[in-house]
Amino acid sequence: MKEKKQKVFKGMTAPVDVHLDIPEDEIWTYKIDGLAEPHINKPFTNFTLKKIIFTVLILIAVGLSMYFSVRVVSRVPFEYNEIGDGTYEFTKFNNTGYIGHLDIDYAVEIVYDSENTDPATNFTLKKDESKPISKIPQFCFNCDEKVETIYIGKSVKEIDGKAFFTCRTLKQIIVDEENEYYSDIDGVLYNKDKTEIICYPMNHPQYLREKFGYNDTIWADNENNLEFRARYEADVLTYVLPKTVETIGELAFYDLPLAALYMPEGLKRIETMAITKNWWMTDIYSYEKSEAEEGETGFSAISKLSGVYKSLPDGLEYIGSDAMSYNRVCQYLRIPSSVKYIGHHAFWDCVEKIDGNLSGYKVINISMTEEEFDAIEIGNNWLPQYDNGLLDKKVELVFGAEKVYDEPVTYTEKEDGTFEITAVTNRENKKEFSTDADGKVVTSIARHPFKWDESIETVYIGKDVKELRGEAFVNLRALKEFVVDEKNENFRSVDGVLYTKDMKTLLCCPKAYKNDKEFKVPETVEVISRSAFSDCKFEKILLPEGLKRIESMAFLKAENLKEINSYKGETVYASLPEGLEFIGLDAFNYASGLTYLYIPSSVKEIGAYSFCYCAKIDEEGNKIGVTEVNVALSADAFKKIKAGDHWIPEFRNEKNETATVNYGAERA
Amino acid sequence: MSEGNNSSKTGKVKSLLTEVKTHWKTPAEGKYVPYREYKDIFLGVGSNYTGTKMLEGIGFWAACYLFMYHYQLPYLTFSFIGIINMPLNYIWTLIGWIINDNLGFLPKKTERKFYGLYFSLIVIGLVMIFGKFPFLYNSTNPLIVYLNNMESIGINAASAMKILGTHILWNGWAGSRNIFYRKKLIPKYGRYKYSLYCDVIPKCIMVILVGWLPLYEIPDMVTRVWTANLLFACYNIFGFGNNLETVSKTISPDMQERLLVRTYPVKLSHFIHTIVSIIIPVIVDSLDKEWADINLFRYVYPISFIVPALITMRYAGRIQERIPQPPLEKKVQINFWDGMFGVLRNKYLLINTVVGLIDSLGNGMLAITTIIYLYTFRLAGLPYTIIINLISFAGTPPDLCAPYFLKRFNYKQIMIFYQLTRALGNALMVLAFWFCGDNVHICGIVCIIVMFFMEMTKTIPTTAGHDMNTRIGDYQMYLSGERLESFAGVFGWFTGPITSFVGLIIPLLLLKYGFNSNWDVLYIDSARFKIIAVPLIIDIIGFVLMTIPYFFWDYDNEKQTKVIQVLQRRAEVTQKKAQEEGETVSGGYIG
Repeated sequence: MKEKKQKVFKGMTAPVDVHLDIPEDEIWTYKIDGLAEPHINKPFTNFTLKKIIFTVLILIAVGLSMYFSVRVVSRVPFEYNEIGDGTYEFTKFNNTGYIGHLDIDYAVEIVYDSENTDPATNFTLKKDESKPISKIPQFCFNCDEKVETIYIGKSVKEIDGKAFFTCRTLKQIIVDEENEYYSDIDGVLYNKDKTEIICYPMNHPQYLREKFGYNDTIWADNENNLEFRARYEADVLTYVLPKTVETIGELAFYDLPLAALYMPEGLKRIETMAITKNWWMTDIYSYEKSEAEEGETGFSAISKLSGVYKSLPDGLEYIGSDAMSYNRVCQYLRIPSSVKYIGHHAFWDCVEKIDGNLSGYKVINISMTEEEFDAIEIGNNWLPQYDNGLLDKKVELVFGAEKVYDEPVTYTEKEDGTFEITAVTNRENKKEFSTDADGKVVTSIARHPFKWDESIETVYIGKDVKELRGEAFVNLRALKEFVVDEKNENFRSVDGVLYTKDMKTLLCCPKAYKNDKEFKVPETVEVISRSAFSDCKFEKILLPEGLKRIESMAFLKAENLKEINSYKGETVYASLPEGLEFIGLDAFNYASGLTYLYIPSSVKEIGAYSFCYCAKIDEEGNKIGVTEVNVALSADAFKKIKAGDHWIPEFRNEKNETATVNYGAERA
Repeated sequence: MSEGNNSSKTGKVKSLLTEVKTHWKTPAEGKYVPYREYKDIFLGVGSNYTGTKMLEGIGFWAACYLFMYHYQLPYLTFSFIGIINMPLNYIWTLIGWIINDNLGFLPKKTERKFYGLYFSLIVIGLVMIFGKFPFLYNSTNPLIVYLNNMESIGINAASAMKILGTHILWNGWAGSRNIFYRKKLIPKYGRYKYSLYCDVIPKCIMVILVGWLPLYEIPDMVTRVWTANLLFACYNIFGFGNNLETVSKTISPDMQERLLVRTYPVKLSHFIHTIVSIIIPVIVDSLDKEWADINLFRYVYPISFIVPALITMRYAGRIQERIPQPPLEKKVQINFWDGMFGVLRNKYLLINTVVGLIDSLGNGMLAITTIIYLYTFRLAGLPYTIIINLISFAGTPPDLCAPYFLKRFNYKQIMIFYQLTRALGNALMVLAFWFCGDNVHICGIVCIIVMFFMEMTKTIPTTAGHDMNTRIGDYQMYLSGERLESFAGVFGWFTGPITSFVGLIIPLLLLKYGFNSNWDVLYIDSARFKIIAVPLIIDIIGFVLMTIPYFFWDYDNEKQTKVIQVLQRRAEVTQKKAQEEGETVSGGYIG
């Protein structure tokens, strides 16, 4: 029998059989062969010299470490690189923290004023005109958080689309008109012939907010204020690409709050991450023709577009990687038959499951056959996928999809076979709108079906309409009157104003009502509906004593309103009506013309922000508006009612002052 | 024949069970660790490790989602704060080394001086944080002007004063605690796990506060920066390190037994964390903003930290460190120069330092796994968890065979092999990104396969590395009478200039390639390639160079055995003398 060979290991843990015999008096000095001798409680030889050498070396080492560490965070504000043709590349910009406007035409250096201690103003940027800048490379301004405006000089010939990546404060890029290679439309960067959009600055919406006179606090305080939202979307969050555009450049629309984007049919390329992370983008449209003027890219251009249809334009050939990823709100996508390339993750994360329902692209419509689609070049993971139990599921493809033109009125069929109007786009600028126009039995109107509109003057409500809310019409800015079919059993119009049939609820007063000075609410009315008088032009409002509820935003932004009076029979008094119980959220917010306010003792609930901006400081520093709030209830009694945050008028000054509240006040 | 084999196997199992039962509470002849302690190590180390891993998600650094998404602090802020604190840090570190390596047992006079210093620092720190210094706002002093020009990164002269004050306060507070608790707790709980006893409760409170204090809502970035810095200074005062695993490295003077404990109960205990790391991403996936959701910091992290922390404390007392050492009352006093020159005489520490120095070539590079999982494959939820765990599991089978490999191969062979496999793996990943970077599937699969094999080849060298570090400590104890684990930090001071310089290169390159506070740049193929590949290539060079120092490693098994015998003899003799002199002693261990 063959004997098993014993393996011999020479590794780290192989057992070793050794035993040392260490005398008691040598325990601190015993030296093991092959190792250094212990040095315990013994003096060192040449101790002083060793100490000096050690100290010097350590100081040098520490000094160098600190030097290099400081170098890590030291940044030269402007870094340039000579190209060779006498011009310079602006390689890197490191903001000092106070540079909000920057000209890129010549190399600059910072000159500090040693007498000035204010870091915001103690410097000037000195231009060296012998060093013209011709190139702005990628990531030159990466993650800058201060620059708001960039001016591109005439010498600049080359700008990389990634140069302004994540400049979250950048509002405008303005190009010198003499520049032969680039141009801008209202602060958005294009190439000269406007065939390519290069950069829509990340904070351009702020520029538009300022341009159109929106107060920041509106958006901070009223996220759910749909009336404002619609107007805001129209003015600030809608962008119409000019008909000349053929390419949407890399990162051109990166991480923006845009709500709608219109693309021309000549568009051929959507580059990498061109429209990614537009979290609120609800609509992408394409158009066949445009009669918009050059430079007209806002909401006003929409009415000049024709052949508008949903999603990507015919003629598009290239969709880059991540081109439209993370746009989770957009509902409809159609890929035209002209597309030849789709990059990886092009529509990644464009769908998500919320409470069991899908939001975003539920299917992808493709205007090709399956065979034709298989023949084009497609990157990995281009399809959106959503959480489906353990693993994600890709959305389905629908081949052979046709163009879906943007219909003026969208109807949704209900279970009983009647219809609800869910969306209206008055692209033809009609002056009238009728629920019966298309011959359908319309029984309801959705909460906010109308897009921002400045044409419709008359709304006709048919006999079958049973459900509608006053705020359905808040976006109709030219509306002068409602006309309700006499056979309608639920609603009526009196003198152009919309009421419920029993006249107990005033639903909506048209925004462009014929008499814009004074309005008397009928004495039957107990409820003024949500947004019923928002943005109205009245100077005086007379409310009946039977009124019980003023719903949210009922008089929001009624800036001309100077007096709120109440009446009972022939008696008129300066106050909200006795018997009023409820004042809703934002009910009178921004009614900044008011000067006198009396809250009767019957009120049981006051909504948040209900009078918040009814006071302000004028240009001369005086407090104006509702400087005092008179409340009938005593302070103790008032504590028992429900009052929301910021209901008292605020002056918005540095001291955060609010109007004085006089409890137990007598009516004037 | 077959029956014979079966009965022999059954017999072995029975004898193993008998062995475990017999030595459940008392160790076998020639061994030091009873089997019950194996169970305690499994549960204690597992929980401790899980708790520390949970804390990795919270920290005052740019990579923390709390700071990235909620505090929104610029990338450079953290580096700048480091620089403000840097000069004084050298002084505190020196004092700390003396306290640490004397285990808190200082001569009375020195102790009083240190306490005096630390209490003064606390007062100065508080004044600097909460005092008002008008001259910092309007001054033409160049330093103040310079600081006031740093507002873009959330710092100005006044806040720099507060940040420095926080640093001073922290060091005063931490330093005085260090002396007090070491002296009180080390005799009872040992040198490695004592801090768990004094820190665990305040740490739990701080973990909760970090999520719930809404400091990130402060609109002014300058205020946000210094208050966040103060909050995290308080958070960091209380440690919760992987202490029980450190104890397990010195669980026995016997090398075989150390390795056995390291390989089985310690390694298996990491499965507790594996299970948690499967559950957490699933929970995180259900949050609205996933890893950036504030509820992660309010609920998920606190719960997943506090539960393991409590289990840790349940078992901490049952795990013993067994370093042959004289009683604490008879230990060798280490003064400053003994410490400094002592570590410089340790050749093997020097070799490790050189290796670490070369390894720093990769400093500043991003976590390749993050880029591959999140930015190449866009993994989330269950697929993310599966791949993460599949790769981390790759190292488990080889790790369980570590005792065999460590018997078969010596340290030099293992470590050289390790460096070469890392170089090869990185090279393959660079090639994958180079040739098929835009083909996400192929590139990602190649990378994941490479990472799988790299993980497989990593665990045995890691185990070897841990064991060798323990041996270096033993050797240092032989040389100087103490392990001098803190004084060993002086090597870092000498290598600091080089590591700082090298650490300057990669972040600058990354900045040039577009990497800054917005990681979305990694979605751009061209940027992602440069951001990954260039640091990897530098790392490859480092791995090849790192093989060189290991050729000088000659600390073999025989030397280690002899060192342990010397340490045991010292402990035995000092303890005997103390008994003869009638002294009350504590903390000694003969083995």
